Amino acid sequence: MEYIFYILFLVFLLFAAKKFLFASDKNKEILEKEIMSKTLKEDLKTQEMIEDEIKKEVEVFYQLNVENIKLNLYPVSTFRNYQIRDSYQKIALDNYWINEPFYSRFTKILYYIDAQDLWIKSPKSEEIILNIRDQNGEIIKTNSLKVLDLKEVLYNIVVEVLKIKKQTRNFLSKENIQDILLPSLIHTLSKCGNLDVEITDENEIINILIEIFFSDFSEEFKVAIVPRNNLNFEVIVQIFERSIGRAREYPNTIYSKDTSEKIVKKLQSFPKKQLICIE
Amino acid sequence: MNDQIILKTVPENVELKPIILVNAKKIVLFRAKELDLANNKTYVRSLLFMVGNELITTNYPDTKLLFAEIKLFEKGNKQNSFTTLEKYDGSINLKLKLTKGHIYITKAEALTISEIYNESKYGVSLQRLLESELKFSPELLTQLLYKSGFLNKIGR
Repeated sequence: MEYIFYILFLVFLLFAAKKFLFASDKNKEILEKEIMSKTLKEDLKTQEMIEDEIKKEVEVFYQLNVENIKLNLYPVSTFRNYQIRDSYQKIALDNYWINEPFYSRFTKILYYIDAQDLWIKSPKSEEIILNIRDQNGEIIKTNSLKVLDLKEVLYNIVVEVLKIKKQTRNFLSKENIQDILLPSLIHTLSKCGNLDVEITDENEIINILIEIFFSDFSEEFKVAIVPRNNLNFEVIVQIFERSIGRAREYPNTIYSKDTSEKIVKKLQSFPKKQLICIE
Repeated sequence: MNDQIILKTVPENVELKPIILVNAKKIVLFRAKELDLANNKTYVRSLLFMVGNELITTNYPDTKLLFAEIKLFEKGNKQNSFTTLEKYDGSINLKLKLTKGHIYITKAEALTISEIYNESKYGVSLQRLLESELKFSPELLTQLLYKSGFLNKIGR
């Protein structure tokens, strides 16, 4: 009987050993299979990723073409008057004249004219002195005359300069035309009747205006801006006379203490630049 | 309601009409005439006196006073408000002060001025002038001058 038990035990041992050995082999095979599948999956994933990346790159390139370019400029809506808004749109945005010494000076002059009611005495008008009694019985002296609105004159100047630009498209660069535009603006500003300047000499008024508007520039630039130093002074005078001839006349009264506010105060409240896309 | 107030102060149908008194010295009498289109009548609403480029008087009492001073000439008071007497080479002249300079009025000119002024009153009712005279503000007067074309340099 003992032999039988030994034999059974041995058989059991053999069976158990076989079973464990077989199982270890099986595990190995399963692990190998799993690793293989994983690597395959990873390969597939990488392939997909590469394909996706290629697709994405194409899409990004396509989007870049569509995007609008934004520039740091003064917005059109900050101007009050429609004619000044129009002239700013025509000169700065439509023409793309945003090169720096010109652009900031031009907009500064526009903002100054926009903030005030400046006028030029009409060449066809006569000045009449009025003596009128007020409610206290004292005589008040006022002058009455016909007057041109500076905003209209400025708009006409812009139109004239753009005409010159069209005619001389093949000969003059944009810097040359800008050299005509800025001195003609200064020339018209010096002719104003109610500037806050007590001096009557035109040359001194021009010097004061240049010191105010072009204060942060070199003296060579200041000297070049003076209309009399410009080689095209005859053209500037012609532009001024044409633009005056087309402007409308308005009746106006001048009181003795009628002066505009100081220029420097007006220029302190200067609007900020914004990001604008130009089409 | 608002329209009526504006019509009372700024009448649309008022025009300035000149009567030349002395041609050489540019002495002109202006009448502010109102056209009553419904009744087909005209009324004088104010009288203005102008020399050269200056309106010296712009209401009725002042112009009346100036005409009285011109009419009286050397008999007038020394404390005249607009004119002074000056002797030159034995003859007496009436000096009229302006803001820029002055002019002299001779006796014959004074006579013509007063005569033409008297003639200008014929056939015109002055009741509306006495009852409701137009009171000018500088802006209203410039608009009237502009409307009747006296601010133009040529064609005056």
